[in-house]
Amino acid sequence: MLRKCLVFVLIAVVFTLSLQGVLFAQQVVTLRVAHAWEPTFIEVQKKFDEEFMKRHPNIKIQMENYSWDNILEKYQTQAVAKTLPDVFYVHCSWGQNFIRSGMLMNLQSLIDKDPSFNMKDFFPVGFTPFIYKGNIYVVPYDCGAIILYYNVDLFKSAGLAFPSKSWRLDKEFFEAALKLTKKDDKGNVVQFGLDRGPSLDYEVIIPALKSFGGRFINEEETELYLTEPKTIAAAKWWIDLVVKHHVAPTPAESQGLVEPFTFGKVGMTFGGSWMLERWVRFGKFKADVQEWPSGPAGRFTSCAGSGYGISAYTKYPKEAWLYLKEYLSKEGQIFMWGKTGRGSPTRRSAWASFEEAWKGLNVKAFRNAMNYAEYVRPISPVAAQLNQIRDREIQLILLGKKTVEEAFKTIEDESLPIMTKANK
Amino acid sequence: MVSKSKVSQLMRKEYRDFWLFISPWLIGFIAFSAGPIVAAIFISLTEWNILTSPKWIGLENFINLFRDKVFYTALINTAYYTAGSVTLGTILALIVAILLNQHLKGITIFRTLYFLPSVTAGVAVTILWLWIYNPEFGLANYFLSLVGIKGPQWLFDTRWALPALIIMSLWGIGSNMMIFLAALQNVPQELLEAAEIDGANIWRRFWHITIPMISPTIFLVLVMSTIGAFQTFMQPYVMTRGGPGNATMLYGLYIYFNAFQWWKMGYASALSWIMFIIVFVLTLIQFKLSKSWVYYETSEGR
Repeated sequence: MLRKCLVFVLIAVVFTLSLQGVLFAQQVVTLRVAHAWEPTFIEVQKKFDEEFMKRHPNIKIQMENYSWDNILEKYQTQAVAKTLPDVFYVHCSWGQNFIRSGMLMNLQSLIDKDPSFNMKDFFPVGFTPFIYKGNIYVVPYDCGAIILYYNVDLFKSAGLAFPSKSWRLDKEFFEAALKLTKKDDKGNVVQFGLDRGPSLDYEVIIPALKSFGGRFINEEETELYLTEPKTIAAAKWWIDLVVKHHVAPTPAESQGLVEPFTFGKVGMTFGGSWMLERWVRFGKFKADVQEWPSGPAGRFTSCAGSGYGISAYTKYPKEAWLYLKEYLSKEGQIFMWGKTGRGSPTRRSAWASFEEAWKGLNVKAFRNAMNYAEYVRPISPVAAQLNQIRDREIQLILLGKKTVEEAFKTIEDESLPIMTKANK
Repeated sequence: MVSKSKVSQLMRKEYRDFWLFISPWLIGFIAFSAGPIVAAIFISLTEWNILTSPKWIGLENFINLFRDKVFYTALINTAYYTAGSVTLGTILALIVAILLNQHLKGITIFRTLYFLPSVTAGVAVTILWLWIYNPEFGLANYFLSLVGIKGPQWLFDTRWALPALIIMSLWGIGSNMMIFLAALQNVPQELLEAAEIDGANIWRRFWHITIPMISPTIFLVLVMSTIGAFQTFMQPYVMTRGGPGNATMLYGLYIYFNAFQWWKMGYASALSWIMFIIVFVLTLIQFKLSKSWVYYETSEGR
């Protein structure tokens, strides 16, 4: 009898355990997470995912890394087919299009319910392109202010003092740009004082104009101020750096050189924290950073970044939120971007690790600038079209085909109907 | 004598083989070309940003298109580019094919060398040309400087940017050259010899025998090159993004910008249909005109 009982108990135990195993196996969730990392950074990502899976054995992370060349088309196709990854990378310029098209899950209630997320730890400006009607759809992982980069070696050889916080655009900055520009015996420029600023592209147009009392676009993106006299005067000052003083390369001179600063033949340029890797770590010269010099109207700058969102079509919102929360937690940001120096974290608490990664450099300048930086604009769904019009016209100014007044009038005339339609 | 049933059996087998061999192309065409073409008709009548449901707007896209200044610019640029690249490309391909049709020692090496650019990767070649056209240190202006000419700004000059793309298109004449070479080798030698005996000089033999005999090939090359030129996208996309101004805004690039950069798939589909109609009409005209100059070696003659 006892033997029979023992066999019965044994069978019952084995049955229960195997049933648990089946149930447990069913609970393992595969989460697709998409990134746009360069090959060298993928290993860091893999390590994070491995650690995450150890902490959460019921979640399997399937990493997908998309090439920057076709990532947008890929997302568009996946969205139509409702096969978007559960968690995916979102660039600031796509945020509003993705949100308004219903691709992204509204994260607001999850953030509100979860005190461990600690919204106060974030620089608020980083959320700008990822909010719609007061709700957050994407959590930014990096947000960098656009500040001044300078080639230390070129400054030293020119006998110039390094840029300081007290620099003014129309004084020290301009004088340094003049002195750093060098010509050969035939009169050809062999070294430029500056790059990028005069292009008035999407990252620099706001601070460039504002520093001289001009303005570009309002926050609602319903108005442009390009025909205002102060804006025209501000733009002329920047454009003259190319066309009159020739301290910055013309578009033709920089053709084929994606970022002339990289080649060590340019004294100063403007960029975000994500350029540290290329310009400082891999450059064959010593470089450092300083805040954007102030202009007659004050000190301004812009900022930009990217984040991660959860697909509106995900079957695993709970697990996706868990991943996103840990990925962009203080520890996650330190592991991914702080310690590696890959990008300036959006959490204040993760900043010390980023500064440590770039020890010896004035990276505090990025953090200081975050206190007054405005997000790059436009960010509305028609931003790409507006940027194309602006870039086209500014190129014509730099090529001497149009005056600032003519080009800015064209930008307004072509952009305003598009903006009006988008805001309807 | 073969029986009727045997013939019918053979015919059935031939039919079956025909459909079998053509089926991979047919399936691919229906799935990846015909489907999207038909869908584009519907999409062109909607406002669609790809991600949300299309909104029916009737002919509004087509009406807006005729009010769009860039549409006309893109159309004129494309016509200019097509005329330049097709004319120069065809003439040059024919000249090179004639030169390579000589029975000389080592001619196959030259044939390979001339064909090689056609098989090199598109974007890499485009970047190579970007450097060639660099106004400061590019090879184009360097060679011009050797003969005392100050070269233009090429891709940064609104007058020179499109001609620069036309010149660059000649890089890919290798494929057409090969087609011409094959055609030239099929010109009956007895006709050329007979003409020579009759006293025809080299030019007369070329003009009255070679050209008529290869005219179907010239026609094919013209039609295919025209269609290809109208669809040119990669070169302006990589090199100029349509600039400076809109000097190199070709039609294909404008469609791409609207569809994938500005999320206006409905408008892009309307643009595509207009392009299809233009290319279709142009091809019909080419076919109509071909009757007066293309010689087919059939029982009906021309």
